[in-house]
Amino acid sequence: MAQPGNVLNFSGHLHLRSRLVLSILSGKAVKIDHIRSEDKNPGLRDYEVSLLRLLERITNGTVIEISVTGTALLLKPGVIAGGPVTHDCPLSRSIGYFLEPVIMLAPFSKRPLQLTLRGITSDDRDLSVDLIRTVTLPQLQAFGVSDGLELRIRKRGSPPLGGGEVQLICPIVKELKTLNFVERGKIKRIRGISHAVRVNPQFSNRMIEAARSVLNRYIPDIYLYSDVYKGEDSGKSPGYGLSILSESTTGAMHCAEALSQPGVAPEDIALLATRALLQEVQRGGCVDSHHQTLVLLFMVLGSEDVGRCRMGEPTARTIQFLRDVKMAFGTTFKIVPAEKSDPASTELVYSCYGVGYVNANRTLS
Amino acid sequence: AHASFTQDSRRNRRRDWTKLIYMTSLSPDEILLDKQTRIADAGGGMGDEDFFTVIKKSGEEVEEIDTSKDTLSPDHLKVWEDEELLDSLRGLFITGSSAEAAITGEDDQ
Repeated sequence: MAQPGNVLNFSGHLHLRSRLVLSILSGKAVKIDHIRSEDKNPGLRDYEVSLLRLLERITNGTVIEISVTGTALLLKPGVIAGGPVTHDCPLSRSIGYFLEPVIMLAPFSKRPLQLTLRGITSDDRDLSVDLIRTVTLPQLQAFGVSDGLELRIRKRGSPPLGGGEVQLICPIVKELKTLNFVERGKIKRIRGISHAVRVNPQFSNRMIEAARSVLNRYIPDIYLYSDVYKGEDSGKSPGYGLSILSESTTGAMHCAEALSQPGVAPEDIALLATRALLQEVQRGGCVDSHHQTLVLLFMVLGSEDVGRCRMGEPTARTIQFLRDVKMAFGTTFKIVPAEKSDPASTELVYSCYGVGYVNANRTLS
Repeated sequence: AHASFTQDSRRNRRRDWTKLIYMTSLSPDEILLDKQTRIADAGGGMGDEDFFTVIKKSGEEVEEIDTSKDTLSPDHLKVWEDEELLDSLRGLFITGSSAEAAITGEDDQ
């Protein structure tokens, strides 16, 4: 029986992933009710159940109870075990949906996690595996999670049928370093991955051309890699997309991507991705809007010192996340304008005192 | 006195994110949408007629999906066809030393 103070109570189906992560990291049970209880099709979706199964497998001793109607769930967290795990993701969500919460947990496992995920490698709802590999994982290096951190894209799989496969290898750490990242620097290079499977490989080059038409004005150091997978490795459905990122002199990264839609030319997809990147760059900060929650979480878990990071305005997801963090760890952030002299600037500096989270699961060798 | 006044108005225009996030019960979307509305107004409009409130049924609407990537809207991103807006970012790249110099100095193609 958990004490009342040790249960996090939430309601609604939104923010499920971050709430489960907070529960597992803080060791507090989480109770979520009213999961689509007003909906015509109430309860948990297949991908949410699949996520719970995945979390159950990378941990040891986790107890999950789901109500008969599926509209309420209780999770009592165990320890994060890690080790080799293989998981088939349902085709209703892409692999990115599952990778994001796993990346938040993996550095604190008992043994290094080697996770193989099969399913859709990129779709328009979650970060594609390309961005996770090129942007999300490098963010972890600032916190001291770096040696052997790797995401291999073995096969690509486009929606609706997927057929992709990736492997995440994540080292374990004792504790995270305190982040102090307030200089955004200037953008020195732009990189991108243009992928195409089961379509004319020329599509990939057409996307690169279109993206360059906008970006060439800024800097010469633009390298857009054309990544064409063939045969078995290209999954079961046709599709293409452009993932693009900018990197500054201080290592600040912003990213965006767009995926193929029926009846839209590859050039338009590339323009969409490029413009979305410019929008991210305009929002400013050292971390883009997709990675706010990950960076903020690791700042909370950092060593007992003040961590600081410059970012743009919080997204709706980030706002809720900050409130959930306060419930789980009692940590509040101080959020102040980054440029006090410039009223037009919307950049903010987020700072907090780390809880000094120590990986107690880690096996001593 | 003038300086302190401008500083004051500036502070008003700025949003106190710490307060909005931790000290109000506004939903995240309300915080982001209501750029103008002050929190004080929230409880204001309680007239007699507002006694009954209609509970919004979510059945007919499209389900809000828990996602980390916002849906890109081509119409919303159309603003980036504008050359001036594109040029306004030049200062953020290493090639543009300062925003003004970059706009007048460099001209591609």
